[in-house]
Amino acid sequence: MKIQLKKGTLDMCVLALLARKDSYSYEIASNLAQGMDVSEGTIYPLMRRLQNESWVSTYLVESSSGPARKYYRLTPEGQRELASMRQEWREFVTEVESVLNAQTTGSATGLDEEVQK
Amino acid sequence: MNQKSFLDQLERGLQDLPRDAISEILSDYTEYFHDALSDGRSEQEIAAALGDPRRLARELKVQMHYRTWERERNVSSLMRTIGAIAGLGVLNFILAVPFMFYLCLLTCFMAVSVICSITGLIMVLMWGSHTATGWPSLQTANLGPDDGYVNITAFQPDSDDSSKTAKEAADARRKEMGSATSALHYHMPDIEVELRDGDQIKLTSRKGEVVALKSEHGHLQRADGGKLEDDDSYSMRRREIGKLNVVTADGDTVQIERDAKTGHIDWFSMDHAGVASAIVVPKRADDTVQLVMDDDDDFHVMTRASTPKKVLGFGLALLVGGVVCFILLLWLVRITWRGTVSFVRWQFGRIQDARTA
Repeated sequence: MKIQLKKGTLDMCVLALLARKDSYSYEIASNLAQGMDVSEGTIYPLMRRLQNESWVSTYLVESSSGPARKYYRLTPEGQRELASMRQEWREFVTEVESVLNAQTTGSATGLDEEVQK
Repeated sequence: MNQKSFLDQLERGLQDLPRDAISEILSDYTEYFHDALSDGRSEQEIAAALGDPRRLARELKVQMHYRTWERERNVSSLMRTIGAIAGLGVLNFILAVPFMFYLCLLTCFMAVSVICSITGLIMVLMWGSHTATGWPSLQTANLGPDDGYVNITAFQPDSDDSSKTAKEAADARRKEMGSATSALHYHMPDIEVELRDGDQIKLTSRKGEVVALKSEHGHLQRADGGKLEDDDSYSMRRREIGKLNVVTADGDTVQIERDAKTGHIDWFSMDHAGVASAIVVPKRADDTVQLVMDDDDDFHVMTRASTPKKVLGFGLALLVGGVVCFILLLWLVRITWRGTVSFVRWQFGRIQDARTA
């Protein structure tokens, strides 16, 4: 269950991170690892996929202390994608919660009926 | 595993990608190692966190090939994508064997239908050209080298038909074959001429000697009434013949002559409209006299025109059949292609899922 949920939302999380500020892969990996149980190894292939989808673009920043860093930036397409993903996510959460709550009330009512009998 | 061996293995795994793509991936990982090392982690720790570099390489390769394929949909990029996916061990390769067989079959049928269409088209065009200009002659059958004999025999009525006279039997047979005159059969390499009662044949040798024969009561004899050494048949070498005339009892004339230019006898070229080397003179102007191949592959002189129509019919059937098959196959190819595309997409999706998990 958790794997299935994570699969769909990882893209959204990365896009959300990049919406806040441009970032490089190690920073993205560490930020994600703080909040979620994500394997570091998945981040790079994922970044390439987001690039293929044209949701993110890259630019290089020279560094004095080591190799140039590749920064990822959200493209306008990526922003639109993120907005629709957020929308879908909210709807999904609302649906799931309504079902969960209805089940509670449902079984409660069922129990009431039992008691009444 | 340290940084160097991680990057080495990754590089080896990526080998068949373009050079710039490999160096980009390697520099991205170098950057990652640098950042992680500055974060105070050890090379071994980072390499372990990133996972097996060989598997990583295979996955990146699938991604690259898939992307190329999405951009330029062709067979070679599809094959590379399928190959890359197979490298990940997800695609069941047993499935690919019948699929390949099916593809081969599809290709073969495609080629056959194209050949049929083209042949049909050529036949229809030939018929059109023949009808309009008389060229090409559709009845020509080249018999090859001028060896063998011309054997002349008298038509023998069937023995159980003894009540009929030879003339009656010949007439009955003639009726069967349309208004056929004496028949010319070709039995490699001999030409068999079977004379009906009352029909005459005149053979002119290249030296100008003339032999005239006629059939009477089922027996062959000289036209002047003289006896033959063998009263059932007469033979002449094909290469000695200069001219051959058949005059039927009805008055039909068939003349086959050696072409002065080529030196050949065009035995069954019966294009009376233009070619002078072999002339068929029909009794009535609206008759078309031709040599027609029957079911036993024998040629008969018949006074019914059917071959050009046969050519047209056969050509049209080939053309229509070929085109219909081709369209059907194209439709199949479309379905197959779409199926393959969704299958590869599905496999690709499975890889992405497997990776995130």
